[in-house]
Amino acid sequence: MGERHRTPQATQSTTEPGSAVPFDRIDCDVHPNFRDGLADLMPYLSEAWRRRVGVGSDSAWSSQVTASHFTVPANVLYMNPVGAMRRDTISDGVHTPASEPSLVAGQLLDAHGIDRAVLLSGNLLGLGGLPDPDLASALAAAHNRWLAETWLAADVRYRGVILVAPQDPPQAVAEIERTAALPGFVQIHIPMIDRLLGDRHYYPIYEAASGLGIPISVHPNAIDGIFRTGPGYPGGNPVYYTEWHSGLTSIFAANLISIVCNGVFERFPQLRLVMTEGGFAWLPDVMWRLDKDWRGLRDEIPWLSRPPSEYILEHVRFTTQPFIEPSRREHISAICDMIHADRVLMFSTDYPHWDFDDPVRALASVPRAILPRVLAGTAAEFYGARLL
Amino acid sequence: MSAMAEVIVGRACDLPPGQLVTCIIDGRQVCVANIDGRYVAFRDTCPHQGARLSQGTIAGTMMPSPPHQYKYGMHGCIIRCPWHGWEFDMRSGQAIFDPGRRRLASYDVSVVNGDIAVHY
Repeated sequence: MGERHRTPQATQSTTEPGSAVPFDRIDCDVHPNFRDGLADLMPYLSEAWRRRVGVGSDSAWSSQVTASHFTVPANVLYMNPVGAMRRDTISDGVHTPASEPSLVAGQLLDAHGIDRAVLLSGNLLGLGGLPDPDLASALAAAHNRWLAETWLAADVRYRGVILVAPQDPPQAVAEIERTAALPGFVQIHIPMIDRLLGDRHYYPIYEAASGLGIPISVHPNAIDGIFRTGPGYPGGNPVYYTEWHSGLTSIFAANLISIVCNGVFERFPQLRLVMTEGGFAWLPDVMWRLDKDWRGLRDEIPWLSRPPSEYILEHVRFTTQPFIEPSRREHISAICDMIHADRVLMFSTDYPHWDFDDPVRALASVPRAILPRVLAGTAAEFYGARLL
Repeated sequence: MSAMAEVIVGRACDLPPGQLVTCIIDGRQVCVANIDGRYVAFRDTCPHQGARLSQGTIAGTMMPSPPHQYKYGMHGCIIRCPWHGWEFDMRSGQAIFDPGRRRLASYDVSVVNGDIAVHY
């Protein structure tokens, strides 16, 4: 029942099965930071939006004390005792981690032999928390222009995400169509809001993405469980950063189950999704539970013509950082086997965050036979010609 | 048992309490620190993923305690890796979270005639 689907390929892909992958390491998660907060985006905002955002010499006199200028929603409740960033990413004259393209090129790309890095600003992860869809859309568009000028132009190895505001899909589509025409953008990043990914609210974005052959991505949002407008934390309110951070994977699982069960990959067969920094070792349980339930309950979601796990393996990718560290190394092979890691895992470092993964040390126990796929092969196929 | 070599890394008076310096011994970068008058040395490589410990922080830590209580201690004895935050007691080299099995690569240190000697 149902025809066999091929894994959707990136359009204009030049990577045929069996051809040599031109890269050794593709880092699918790197976070450049603003040097001066939202002021970095001022050149890319209209006069009206500069005044609305309120950063700069015209900002209200009370801005230090009261709510009179905007900050992008961030994690204001859970404080990492280590400081959330690698301490060695700052140096003389550079006080903000990952704010200087040439320094990042040296410390990350050169030092770890990385051929391509996918960039998403670390300052706007919580964009979905803003209740004003126009403010969010303006900031997203400004981010994309900033990324192109400050980072993509600085080193041929940098690639970027098209950041969109999920609060207003039609504006997001306009931004996608504008930015997809520029070189260097490889995926469409959707900050999460309080709607799971299967919600039809997102369909205009999915239609634009699949029409252009560009994958979509999601990532931890900094605001998970902190703002009502962002994704809720399952079950209640965590107390400790350790608790909050380690439990974020369940938000990814919920969104994955939603996008599959709502038939998004049937409606948009060309759509591809990368779940960045959301973990992957929880996948066996989700795939088994979904498949088991579906066998008996399929008439509730009859648009799924195949087991739910097959949609995951064909349409979704997962980045490796933070990689698992079980005390028994053979458990890494076991998990890789269960999740078909050669198909779904893509290497990432999450530079400059504290839980950065060194590509050699962190992946030391990944089965050798699939390591080239994990380090570059799967990402090269997934992103296609936009990576070149 | 092969004879150990030793190298003089500096004058004790030049390394006051609370300070840490790095040097190259036998081709490897080594940290030398003064903890309250006691000199320690260890390889400048975190056993986790190889980060440079010398770029981390030196402080104390929160001691074992009943739930929801904090007791700060071991001030100046703990070096914390700049990457994932692993804490090591520089005096013993042991990782705080797993003292039995995770440790720094430590060197014996002696002070002879005011010189700090690291044995390797």
